[in-house]
Amino acid sequence: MTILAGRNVHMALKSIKSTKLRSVLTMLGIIIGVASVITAVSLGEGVRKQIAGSVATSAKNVLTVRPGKLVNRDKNGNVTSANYQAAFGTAALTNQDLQAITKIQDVQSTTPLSTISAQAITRDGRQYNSIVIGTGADFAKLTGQRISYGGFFSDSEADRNLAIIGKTVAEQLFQENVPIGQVALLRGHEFIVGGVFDSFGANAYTGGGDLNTAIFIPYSSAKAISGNATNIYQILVKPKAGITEKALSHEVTDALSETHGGQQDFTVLTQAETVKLTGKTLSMLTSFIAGIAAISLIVGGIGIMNIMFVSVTERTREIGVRKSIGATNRQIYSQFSIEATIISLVGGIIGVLVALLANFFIRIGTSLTPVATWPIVGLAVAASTVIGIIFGTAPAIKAARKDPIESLRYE
Amino acid sequence: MPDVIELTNVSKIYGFGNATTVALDEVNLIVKKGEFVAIMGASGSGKSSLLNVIGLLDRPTHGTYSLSGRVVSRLRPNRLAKARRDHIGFIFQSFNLLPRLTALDNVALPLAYRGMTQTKRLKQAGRALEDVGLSDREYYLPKNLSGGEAQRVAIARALVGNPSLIIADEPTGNLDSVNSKIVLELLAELHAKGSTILMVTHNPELTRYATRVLYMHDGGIMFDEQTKIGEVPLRARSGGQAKPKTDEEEQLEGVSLFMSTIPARAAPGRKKLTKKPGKKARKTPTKRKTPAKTTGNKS
Repeated sequence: MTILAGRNVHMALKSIKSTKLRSVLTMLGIIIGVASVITAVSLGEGVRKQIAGSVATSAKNVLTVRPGKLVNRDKNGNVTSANYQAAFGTAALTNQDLQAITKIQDVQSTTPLSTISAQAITRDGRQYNSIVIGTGADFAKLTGQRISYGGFFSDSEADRNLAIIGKTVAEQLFQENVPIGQVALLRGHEFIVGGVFDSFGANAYTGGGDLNTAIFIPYSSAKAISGNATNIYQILVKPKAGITEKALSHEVTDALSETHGGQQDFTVLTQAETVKLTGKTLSMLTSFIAGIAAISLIVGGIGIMNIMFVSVTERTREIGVRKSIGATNRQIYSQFSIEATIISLVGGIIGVLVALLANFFIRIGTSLTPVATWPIVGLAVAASTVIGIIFGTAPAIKAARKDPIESLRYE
Repeated sequence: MPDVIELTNVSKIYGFGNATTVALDEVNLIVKKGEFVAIMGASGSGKSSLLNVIGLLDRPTHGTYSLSGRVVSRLRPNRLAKARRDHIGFIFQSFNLLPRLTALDNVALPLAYRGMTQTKRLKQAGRALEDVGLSDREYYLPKNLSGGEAQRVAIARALVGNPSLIIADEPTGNLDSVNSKIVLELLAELHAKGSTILMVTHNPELTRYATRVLYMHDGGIMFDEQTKIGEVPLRARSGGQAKPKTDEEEQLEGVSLFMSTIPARAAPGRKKLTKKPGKKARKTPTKRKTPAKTTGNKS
């Protein structure tokens, strides 16, 4: 039987080669399916790795406070599940909250992240729609984000009109790599560029959005130019030395409950919880996209079945000849089944190569770094093989059941 | 000599009810080892059905078929395929080589289904190709072979597994006379080496290679004649018919039958016509032997 299997593989390859165009078109469904599943998953995996990396480089023991009840907790305060509806809620953090946290004894520093409505204009009138974020002096340190040129503003510069800009802003607004000392107008106020960030990857603290297109200014300046209309979307809290995250998170929760009138429409997350929550959201998104991509794998399988049926009909005479010289039904079955499996498997392998190529171009062209892991590649190839076996079964059975006499007569 | 084929009351019936067709009607046949049997008969006479049953492509509806002493008429399809693989070599009118395989691979194919290793089967296939004189065509694809060469490759494929029986279904039907001769000489050679061959043909000339000629009609074996190699039996020349009839005779016969039903004129009409040989023979197959002999005597 093994000899025959080898022989069938050989035969199948020959038959695939002899109908190259058709075979490639048949494989296309599988190629696209496998490639898109792998690309989707490796993108998700890449972002997850980046986040884990950002946590590793950032300061330890940082608490994150966000508006809305983002997670459900059990009695012991452990996160049980994410509460995705909260993302669309109206809850907000205010200046009052910030002050309440600052007043807590065990807090070493607080760093708000707030957006204001402002459009950056250069002196020569170039405009750029960037996100303007008002934040504290510790931002760079707490998030572990590196600065390529210049530096972040310090505590003593917290009321100056300084702007630290993302890489894309430098390129798009100022059209140079190091626009330090240049001036950008925000709501009519002049801000001097003091530094340019290194490229932002996916970051546990950034809460989505491409921070490469953001301009960072001191929080007090943000308040001043917007007339106190800042929208705080996150507060980073650093505990004093010797204070655990857990203990501080209780203190912060209590303090905020007071300012919010006892309502828990905010979330205090430890670093580990932040990573976990982001990971959860991410894997849900990834599996959703991968699921959609997997549908195309099934469509590809149906394509294989279709072509195999055509092939069986076309080769009716061949089946008759093979049967007349002694092939059993089982041997005919395995011949066609192996052929379908090989088409699918080769499609799967090409799909992997396409995915790797796509990943390469994504790496070059964007700030994302997709990571294709062996398990997902193996799984995709295995899935394509299984699809070949499943969708090749019906045509193979049809071939095996053909009557030798009628098949020999077939023109 | 042991019996290779033994058919006992074998019938093959197609269809149901009113649409029933009797393709084989209680055929009895014994073929001994080493015989070269030519089968003749008009289309629809049951030749193909007989070949299909003997070639294990089909099972008889009734009756028993023993191949090399083993009853094979009731085997399941799987066993049937294996018996076919081990005992029978087919040669077809249209060669039926697989177009994507080289000559050598085509010849080696039956051995692959026996589970033989590649080296062994290619070696054996090479020898078989040598036997048909096509060693230099091993790596040709069928489309690059001439008709005669293709049929010789097919013969090599049929004999590669040393089958107990070689079945040739009009092996020269698609060949010119020169190639037909080559192919038949090959078959004769195989026969001389001891192979048992069953060949369907329309060409009476080809029966000169056979040791026995069967004439089929309406699903039965009408005549069964031992012949000498090199001789074409007269009956074969006439295509197994008692005597070739013209359309006129055919019509007259109808008239005579009609006349015989009219009592007053029956006697003279019949008398005249009975003088013609072959007239009565039509009614029952057994009586056909008489006119056949008459023809033989005349010439």
